[in-house]
Amino acid sequence: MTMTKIIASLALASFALSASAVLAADETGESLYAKKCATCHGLTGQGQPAARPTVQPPIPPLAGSGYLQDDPDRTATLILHGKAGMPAFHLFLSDEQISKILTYARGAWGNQASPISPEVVADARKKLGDDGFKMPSN
Amino acid sequence: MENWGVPGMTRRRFLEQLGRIGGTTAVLAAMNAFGIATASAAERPPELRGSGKGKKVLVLGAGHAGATSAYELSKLGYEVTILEARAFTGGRAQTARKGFVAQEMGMDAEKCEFDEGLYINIGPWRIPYHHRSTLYYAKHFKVPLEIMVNENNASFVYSHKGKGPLAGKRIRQAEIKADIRGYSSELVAKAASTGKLEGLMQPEDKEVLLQYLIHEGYLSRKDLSYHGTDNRGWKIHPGAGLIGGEESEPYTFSDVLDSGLWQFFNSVPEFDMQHTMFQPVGGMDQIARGFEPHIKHMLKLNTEVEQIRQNDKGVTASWVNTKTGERGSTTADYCICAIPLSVLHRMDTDFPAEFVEAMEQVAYAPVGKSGLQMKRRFWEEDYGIYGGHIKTDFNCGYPQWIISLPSTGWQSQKGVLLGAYVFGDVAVETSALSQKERIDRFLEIGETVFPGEYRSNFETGFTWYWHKARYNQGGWAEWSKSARETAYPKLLEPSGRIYLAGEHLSHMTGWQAGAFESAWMQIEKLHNRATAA
Ligand SMILES: Cc1cc2nc3c(=O)[nH]c(=O)nc-3n(C[C@H](O)[C@H](O)[C@H](O)COP(=O)(O)OP(=O)(O)OC[C@H]3O[C@@H](n4cnc5c(N)ncnc54)[C@H](O)[C@@H]3O)c2cc1C
Ligand code: HEC
Repeated sequence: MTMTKIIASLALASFALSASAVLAADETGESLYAKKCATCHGLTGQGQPAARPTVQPPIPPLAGSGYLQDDPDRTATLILHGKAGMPAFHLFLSDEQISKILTYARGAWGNQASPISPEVVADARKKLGDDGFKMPSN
Repeated sequence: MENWGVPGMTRRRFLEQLGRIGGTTAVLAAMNAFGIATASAAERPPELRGSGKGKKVLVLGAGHAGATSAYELSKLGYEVTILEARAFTGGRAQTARKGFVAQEMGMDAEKCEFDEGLYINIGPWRIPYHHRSTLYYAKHFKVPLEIMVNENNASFVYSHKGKGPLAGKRIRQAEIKADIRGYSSELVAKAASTGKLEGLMQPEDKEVLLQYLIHEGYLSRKDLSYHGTDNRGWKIHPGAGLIGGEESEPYTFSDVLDSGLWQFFNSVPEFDMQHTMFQPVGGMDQIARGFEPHIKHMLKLNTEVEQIRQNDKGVTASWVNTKTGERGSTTADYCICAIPLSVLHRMDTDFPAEFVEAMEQVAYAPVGKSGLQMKRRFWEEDYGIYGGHIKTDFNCGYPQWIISLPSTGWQSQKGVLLGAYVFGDVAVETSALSQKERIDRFLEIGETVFPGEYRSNFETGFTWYWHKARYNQGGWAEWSKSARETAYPKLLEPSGRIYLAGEHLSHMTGWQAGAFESAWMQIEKLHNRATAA
């Protein structure tokens, strides 16, 4: 717990969001996805394949993912808050960035779900309040 | 002796009674609460009585939490089997040196090409003096320690974002520390001496405050001003004969403020970062090597657990040997599951829904590290910087990119420095690059601080990202405030016959001490239950 403090004060007090959480003019949902998600979920949303048929993929595909395409509030909360091996992005991505990424992913690789507005993400963030994770350092 | 509000209740009596109720762990925790020590709550393994003879325990994962559980339980007579997916023990406590091969998901295998004797700790690298559980095992297994230089006033700070003449320049830490505190002390001293603090403090404290400020900021007694101090470093160092030395000149207050370089310092560093800081001689994996001879006979390496099942009689893990393809299953009376939650959540288990949902409340931090081998220790030879960190405000996930210099092999020819320690979205983003692109990015940062020297001295590098490690899927557990209150307590309790252990079940997440102490906590619970029947 103690190790989270100093960076928390750096990351939270002086910067509401990390340095990169400002939408650059040329950032699209696709380019943001490539930077912030693709290392794990793959450029075409294929995830990381299972080592053998008897195990699940360590990182799930987003192409065809029900979780991604169902309830917008739940999906936005997942990106902000994380879930097991899925990291929490609330310190690193703005509402607008998350909206762009999710809107892109929900319409790419055969997915066909509605866009997610920045307001939906903002609402999810509000519900989290100051509950989020702090940046650790060790 | 203090009387603890109860007639006849001295502190010693209180602790003795607590020991009877709550075991040694409770006593040690209470001792800390009483301020007898300010250190990690547990100092040594719980003293457990009774025998585990005739009972089987299955330990999943041979990181520190698993190895500790296996080692301590086997001493009590339990018949222990450890299943470990990797080809080696220690889990995250890994050291990359010549010949070390590792593979991230979706990447080619990477082989470490450092010269013989050089290494980088790609996981844990520091042991604070108050992490007594980690120090306990280092001592127990006779792992020699050396000082890890975690603070170095001679090292540089560098700001590319700051304003004014100090931005974009490398500056010795001592200069910034002396100047910012000198000028701040001057301000307060002048305010105090001209009555501006009236009403804010007791009048009789004013004199002492002034003494303190003069002392703290190296102020002149005459005008209460800061004119610099030779303790920030010399322009010309004193020498023999007529070389009396020439004092350095302080920067101006507003230049120091504008530069933002003060952001790297606090009154005292974060508690976990303070000296005395240690590292094992030869690499952090030496602690894991210490356990090995004692757990070898119960250990199955290259054995990935695929499925966990339990009933009211026991626990069964089904596994596959990833080298030979051999499959099998192992059954025991109890299980210590020391697999990270990120990995466990994706495994085939029969935990109740509530337990699984609790696991989903944690998130794992993306983290990466890179060691860069330099053919000459220019930081030592040219700048007199021996260990410690060069601190910059480049974005590493938060604005404090460090380049960390090795605390070993002083004055030898070559050295491996930590060229990147990245977190959050920067870890995610840089992990999407190829090995070559990653190193190129890291060299670019070093080159801004050491133009003409950094790249030209670089020979070979090793990079590693924990969120792309199949058997970790993240650097360490992150608990939100509400998850700590709701989900975390559920995972501390056994699910049937399975006890979880690991850094994630501690308030020292991201520290080895969290792994050791969570194991101590869980084996005590397991043993009490197994011997109560
Ligand atoms: C970059 C970094 C820096 C750190 N710095 C420090 C530091 O300076 N000081 C410090 O004290 N701590 C530090 N830590 C934290 C420390 O490394 C961890 O807290 C500690 O090593 C965790 O131990 P563990 O036993 O809980 O987990 P692990 O070491 O991760 O052990 C889990 C084990 O389970 C195995 N496993 C996974 N899946 C399976 C499966 N399916 N079947 C069988 N086995 C499986 C894994 O291979 C692994 O061996 C750092 C961590 C990181 C990542
Ligand atoms: C460090 C690797 C990593 C990164 C980076 C990452 N994810 Fe994930 N993600 C995961 C893992 C692992 C899971 C599965 C968690 C679990 O349930 O165990 C997951 C789950 C998900 C899910 C739920 C999918 C399903 O079908 O269950 C969605 C949606 C998702 N991620 C979207 C994203 C988006 C969008 C980004 C970029 C902002 C992103 N992820 C970045 C690792 C990652």
